[in-house]
Amino acid sequence: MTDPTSQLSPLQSEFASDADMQELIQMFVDEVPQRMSEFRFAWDRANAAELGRLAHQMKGAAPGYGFTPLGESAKALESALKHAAHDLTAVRREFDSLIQMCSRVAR
Amino acid sequence: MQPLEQQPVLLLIDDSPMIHRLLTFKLKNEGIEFLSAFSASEGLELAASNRPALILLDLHLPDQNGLTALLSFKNDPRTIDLPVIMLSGDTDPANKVRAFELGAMDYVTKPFDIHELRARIQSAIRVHTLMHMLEKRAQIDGLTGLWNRAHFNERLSTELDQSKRNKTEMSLIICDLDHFKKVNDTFGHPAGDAVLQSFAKVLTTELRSYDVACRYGGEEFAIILPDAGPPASLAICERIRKAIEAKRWPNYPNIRATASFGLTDRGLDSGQTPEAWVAAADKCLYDSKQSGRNRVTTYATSGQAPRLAIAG
Repeated sequence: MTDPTSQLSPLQSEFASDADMQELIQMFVDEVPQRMSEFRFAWDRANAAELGRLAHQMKGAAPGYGFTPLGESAKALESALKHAAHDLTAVRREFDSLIQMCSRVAR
Repeated sequence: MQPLEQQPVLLLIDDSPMIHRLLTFKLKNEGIEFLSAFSASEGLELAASNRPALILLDLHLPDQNGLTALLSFKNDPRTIDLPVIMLSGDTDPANKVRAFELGAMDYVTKPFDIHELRARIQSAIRVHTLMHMLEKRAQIDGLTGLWNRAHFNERLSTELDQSKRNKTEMSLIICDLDHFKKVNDTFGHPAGDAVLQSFAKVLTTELRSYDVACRYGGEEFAIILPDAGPPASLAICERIRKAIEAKRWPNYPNIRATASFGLTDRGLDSGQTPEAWVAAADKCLYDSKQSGRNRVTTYATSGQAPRLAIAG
């Protein structure tokens, strides 16, 4: 069975060529799998508040590390959650695209 | 006297470790010391105990809304004067307005441009340093450069508390230039000013770096000596007395100046109020004046009536 995410183009930091940022970007990238499992954990338990908090943090931090599309995707999930009033099925699309965006993050 | 310039401390209160890491890294060359808090309560505690030059406060915190936290800062006397920059992923203008109404100095939205944030941080710290300097200026005597009476009053209380708490010795000197009016009348006020400045110079030369020398009134000075009991404080008084006695002024070769001293110390009574300390030292000074001037009078450590310790 092939991993569907492997088909996607990698998402690299906009600061990838900045020598100063290498170590910082590496730490961020290394932690993305953990962030993803936190998102999934909250999703599986239908914990909208926690999902909102995670999305909010990602929205604020990711662009600082040069992953603007990831920040945008988190922002979309955060605002969808605000309008969905705890009905998670209404934000399914935003959640999926954030997870997909996470899986594209690369060095 | 403590130095004014220290490495500024910045307190970051944000629940996201990703933001802490990014900011610490991006500002590592700015000569700023970082303190980290991840909740409002932790931040309030750190702010009160460390008194940072600047606080960066996130609007979304796990235990409290950032605006509520800001309100707590502004209601606590220990943190009321600390500048706060709000940091938020929220661009709602109502929140911004509310933050400024509550006393925030600035409002930066996340994701932030690091260059902009750095400039805002530097500007805020600059303002804080200037304010701090002005506050200090207001406590310094213009003619002599010593602390003024306002500072003395404040400082005597804190030093007494500290000495009580740590069970350490402490002494208080009140001294007065002898026949100072005659110097002014005979040689003019510029000469009088020169004598006052010279006496201040003698004090700073003879005192230890952590002693607190203040101009108490016209020609009267008060000196707090932390960690000094009778033998040491007496020796300090004697050094000052001899130094001013030996001082000469090239522009006014006929001026001679001496000073009288009143000295009191912890041996008196550890429960004494600042006012009682000043009254006791004043009484000793009075006795020095009465018994011929140019001398030191001290309370005996037994707490008995003043006795003449050393005659000049």
